[in-house]
Amino acid sequence: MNKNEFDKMDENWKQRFRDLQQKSAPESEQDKFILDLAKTLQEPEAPPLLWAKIENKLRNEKQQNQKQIWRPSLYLRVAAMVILVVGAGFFWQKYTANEPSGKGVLNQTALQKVISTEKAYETAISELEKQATPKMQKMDIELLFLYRDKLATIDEQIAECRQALKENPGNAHIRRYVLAALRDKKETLTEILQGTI
Amino acid sequence: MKKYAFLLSTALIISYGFAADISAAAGFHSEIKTYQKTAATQPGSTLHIDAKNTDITITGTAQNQITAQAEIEISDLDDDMRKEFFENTNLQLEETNDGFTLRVETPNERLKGTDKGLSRLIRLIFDGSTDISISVSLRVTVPEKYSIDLKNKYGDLKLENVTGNHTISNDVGFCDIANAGGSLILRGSYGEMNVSDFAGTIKLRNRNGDVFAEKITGMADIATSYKNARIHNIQGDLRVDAPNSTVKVTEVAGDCDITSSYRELEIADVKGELNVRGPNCRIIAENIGKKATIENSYKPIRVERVGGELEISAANSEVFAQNIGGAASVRSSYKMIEIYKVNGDLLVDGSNCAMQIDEVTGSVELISSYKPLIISNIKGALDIRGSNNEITAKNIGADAIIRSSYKIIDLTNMQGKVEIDGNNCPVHIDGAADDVEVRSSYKLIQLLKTSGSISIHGSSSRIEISQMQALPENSRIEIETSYKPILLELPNKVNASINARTTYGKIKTDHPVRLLDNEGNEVSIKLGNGKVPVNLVSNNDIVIN
Repeated sequence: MNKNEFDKMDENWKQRFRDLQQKSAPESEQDKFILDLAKTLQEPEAPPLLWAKIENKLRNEKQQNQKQIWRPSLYLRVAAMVILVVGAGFFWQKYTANEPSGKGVLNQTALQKVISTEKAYETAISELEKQATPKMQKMDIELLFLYRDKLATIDEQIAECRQALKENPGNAHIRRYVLAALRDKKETLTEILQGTI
Repeated sequence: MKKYAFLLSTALIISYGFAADISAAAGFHSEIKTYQKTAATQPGSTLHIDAKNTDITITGTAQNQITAQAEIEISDLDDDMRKEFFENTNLQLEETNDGFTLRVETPNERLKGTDKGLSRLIRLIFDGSTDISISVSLRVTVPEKYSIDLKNKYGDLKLENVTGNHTISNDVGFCDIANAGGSLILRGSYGEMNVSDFAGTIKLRNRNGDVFAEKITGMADIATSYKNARIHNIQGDLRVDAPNSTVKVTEVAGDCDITSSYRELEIADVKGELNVRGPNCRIIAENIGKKATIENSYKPIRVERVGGELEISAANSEVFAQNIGGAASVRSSYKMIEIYKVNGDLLVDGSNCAMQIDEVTGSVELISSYKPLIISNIKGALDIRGSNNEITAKNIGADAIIRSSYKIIDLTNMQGKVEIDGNNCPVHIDGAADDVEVRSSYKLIQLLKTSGSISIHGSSSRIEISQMQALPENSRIEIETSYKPILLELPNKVNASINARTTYGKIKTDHPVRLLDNEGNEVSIKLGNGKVPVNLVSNNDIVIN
């Protein structure tokens, strides 16, 4: 404790302090004195509006930092959002539709999508055919002829459309019917395997 | 950080779009050009159209002219080639003897392979071909009364509001014909056909596609396969040939003839006759005005409310028929046959079929084996040729002839004569208004409340006759069995001459008897005036009360 602090103390406390010094009191008594003295001290009050001032200062600092990055006006931001949403929808529709609409001529990207879908069907059909062939051999003769006839009809449709596509590869209508025939064949083979008839 | 991720993903989407459209950016994109033609014409003429890769719409109008507009789209050509293509493309509308011919002439055959390096390369890479992709959309108007003769492939067709004799072949495409009339022959393959509100006759031939026909004022002749046929409101006769197709028919004013297989057939509200051949088809037919003839196998048949006769020829099919206006004939096997309310005779031939028959105004003839037969409320005669069938019959209005074996024959309230040939069958008859004749063996033969003659030949059968209602003076009783007893309870005040003979048993009676041999094995009893002969023979006991 320095001299200034000692001078500010109440007379009773000064006396207790002196007593402790004189009799070389044990540490426990010294601690008790300090604790008692501490309890008498008042908590310092914060100056009025201190926290509001701090918040204001922080906000100003943040805004100053933000001004360093370019920030468009509200109209520009809304316009950008509209363009993004419409554009994303356009791209999504244009490049995710694996089936042609059935009208007009396909562009290259749509055509590639359709061709890849056709290939996926062909792969699935090839696998299904391997499984279905032995099952067909065990079928009732009438049903066997019926399925053979149906599969032959579908194959004919696929071949006919493929022939047409050689001359008109981007025609959406023919592509749609190829896909329909492939889907039909896949469903027919699945039906054979499941024995649903 | 989120802000940058958003910007990055946006940039990716845009760059993907540009990358994907690189060929378009290089100048390879589709272009559409429109061509038009108009010509004055007279109603009643014919328009011939020969097309390919063309979506066609033909509409009838009140004007006496033909208008044609073709929108032609080609893609992925370089500018020079595209220009040359369109310059050499023509929409031709030429007058002929009976009307006009319309066609689109394109130079794509001539231009094939003439495009330049980059264009050609890109098309080869992307399309796998250097041919020109083309699509045509053709819009035509004709007078309302006009005939259409059309051939098209790989395109859709719409024809509306045109009445005439139409012959249309539209392969690999959807056909929609509405509010038209006259006569229509429509051929196609793989695409859906839809004909509605047609005033006239139609003939539709589809190879592998759905067919829908609705509100046709004339006859309809429809053929398809593997898909669905939905037909509603045909004012004339209907014929459908649709193997492996699901067929649904409602409201036919004329006769209806349907052939299919392996799928479901639903037919309702046919005013004329119905004729169905559907092997392996589940068949439902309701509200048929006249005769119904149905053939199928393996799948159930359900028929309700037939105005005329019913004839079902099936194999291994469950049959349910109800409310039949005329006679019914049903043949099936192995599955349950239920027939209720037949206004006429009924013949059911069902090997191994269980049967339940109720309310028949005519006679009933049943052929079956092994399964139970339940018959009730038959006004006519009953003839059962069974084997090993448990038979229950009640309220039979006329004579009954029943053959079976091993299983019980239980008859109640039989109004006519009863003749039973039941090898090893227990027989129970409760109420017989006329004569009863039974041949059986080993099992109990029990007759209650009889009112006519009784003839029983039962080998080793116990025979019990009781609660007899009457024994008319012109009747007789002949009962013969072996090793088992006979119990005969006669009504009071009966006029009978009874002769009873046993070999090893005893004859027991409360009536006064005359011994016919020294050992009491044969006796005679005279009751009243003795007009009714009663002969009882058994090796076992005979009880007469």
